[in-house]
Amino acid sequence: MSAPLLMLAGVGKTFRRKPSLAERALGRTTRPLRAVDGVDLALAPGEVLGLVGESGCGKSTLGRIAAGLLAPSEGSALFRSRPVAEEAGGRLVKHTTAIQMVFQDPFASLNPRMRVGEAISEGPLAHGLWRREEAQAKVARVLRQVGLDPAYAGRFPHQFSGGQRARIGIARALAMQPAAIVADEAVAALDVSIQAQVLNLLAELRKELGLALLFISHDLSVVRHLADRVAIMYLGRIVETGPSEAIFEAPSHPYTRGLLESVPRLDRRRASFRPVSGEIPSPLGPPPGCHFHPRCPAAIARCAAEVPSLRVLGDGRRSACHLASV
Amino acid sequence: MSARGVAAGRSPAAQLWREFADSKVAVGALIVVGLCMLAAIAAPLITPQNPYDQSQLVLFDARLPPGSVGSGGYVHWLGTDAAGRDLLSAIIFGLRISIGVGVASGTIALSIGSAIGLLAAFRGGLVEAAVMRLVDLQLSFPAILLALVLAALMGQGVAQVVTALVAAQYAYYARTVHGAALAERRKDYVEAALGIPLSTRRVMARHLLPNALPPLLVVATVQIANAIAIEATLSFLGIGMPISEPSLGTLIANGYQFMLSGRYWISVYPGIALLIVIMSINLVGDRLRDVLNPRLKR
Repeated sequence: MSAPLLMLAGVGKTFRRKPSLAERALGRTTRPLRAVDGVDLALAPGEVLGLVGESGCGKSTLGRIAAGLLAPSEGSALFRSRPVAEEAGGRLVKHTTAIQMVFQDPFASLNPRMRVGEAISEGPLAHGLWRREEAQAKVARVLRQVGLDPAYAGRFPHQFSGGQRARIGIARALAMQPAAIVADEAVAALDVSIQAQVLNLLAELRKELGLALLFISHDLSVVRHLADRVAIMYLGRIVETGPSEAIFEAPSHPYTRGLLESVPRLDRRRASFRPVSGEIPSPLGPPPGCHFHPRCPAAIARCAAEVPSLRVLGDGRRSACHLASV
Repeated sequence: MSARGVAAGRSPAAQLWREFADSKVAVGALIVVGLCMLAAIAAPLITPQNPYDQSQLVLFDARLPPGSVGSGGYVHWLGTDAAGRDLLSAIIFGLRISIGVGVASGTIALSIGSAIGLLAAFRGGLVEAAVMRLVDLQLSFPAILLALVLAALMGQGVAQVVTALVAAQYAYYARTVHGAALAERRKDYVEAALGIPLSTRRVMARHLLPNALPPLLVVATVQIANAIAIEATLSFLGIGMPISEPSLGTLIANGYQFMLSGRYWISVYPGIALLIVIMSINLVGDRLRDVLNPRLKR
């Protein structure tokens, strides 16, 4: 594998509610919420990495750290061995334009008072990537790249459908000529037929431009369609990573197995599914040891006591389970 | 956003005008406001007399009833005041002062107030807490009280009155922009802009402010009407505009001592003019609020 484009090393993010005046007066502190806990991940140039997990597992937080919208509380997120973003004087400063983000909600992520052409060209113009006189032609090119009519540049976001807006969001990211795009649930808000179109678009762009993609989703079938490699996240930690095929064919971690078994499939008509039992615990008070042990069908005593580390299995796979066979 | 606008593909401004124009009353009020502004701007060209020019005033013409012909040889349609001023001319010049002071103080207060509100919303932390508590404190006093004290301290004159009004009113704009910006700040498009990355200043000016504009526009119209009313009050009480440059409030004050002797016109006509201006601006503001507030939409 070539040198990674994006490197997450021991990344952790702790959120803490600000104590109220009364709590401060009593000298109380609030409980920390560890949204992301010691995550190591690497994204190679041109690679599509799928990040999968239930709602609230910290995958969006991790994506925001990778995209430079949040600074990690521990560890570092490095783009070509430089920090993606740093906290300076209480404010976040993002250092690179080479990582762009595509957001989940195609309605909220576009400024309603800005024409599409302006929204796309604003970034490249502000960073001197485009000259002002060529902006119109460049906008037209980017719009064509995402499968939209260049004449749309003069319209406002409210004149578009969800799928078109998703494309505009992608166009805005592409305009910055990124090396990597973080797509946070980029198709979750779309109809299934539109989802497929947008996924195909992402796959094409990746092939044409050699883009790396960190694709965050709760939807396994979507990830399977797109990703070279998959990372499964549970309660702030990565529990299993590996090549897409290997993980979908033979999951090693009990949580991954549970996730896969809960996916409805057309080829095996079943009346009932086996969901992962129980609720995802609160990240305010996660269980000790392996975070998954209270819901795990195979849990042993050791699981409640000792945090399993990500161990290398065969075929480029790593799993954080005491019981995983090497 | 209504379905009509989406289908037609108009800019937000064109869309806003279409919905605004659904109310005939509001359009009428807007026309009245426009006419008042035109009259105020063109005052020296359309009035038969310059009421501020003492040499044009003839004491012999004092307190003529409406419709009489004075020594100038023209009809005083609204009569004359105690100094022999043609009241119609004085009212149009008074409008000029009242609207001028209202718009000037409104614009300055809006700029200062929105800058403060935006900064507080974006910075957060101690800056926000300190600034917004100060604004809250000020909002708990009636604006007229603050303006009275300041105007009394600074004395008569246009600059003094505008300063007093700005000091009394910036807080309304700061509060409004702060609230709107806080709500917009959490939306994805702001995060998207910051993630490109664009500078904080650019995100505030190009993304937050335009989206905080609708409530600001409503507050601005209402506050300009308020500024005009406060200025009239100050002038009526004798601490606003000097008697040599009468605003509508000064004119009312000049005339009210003659009310009981039957010379109603000296006070009543300026009063009606003031009423019409303030009411029209408020009607426009009300309609804007109805159109811009998505919660009131069907």
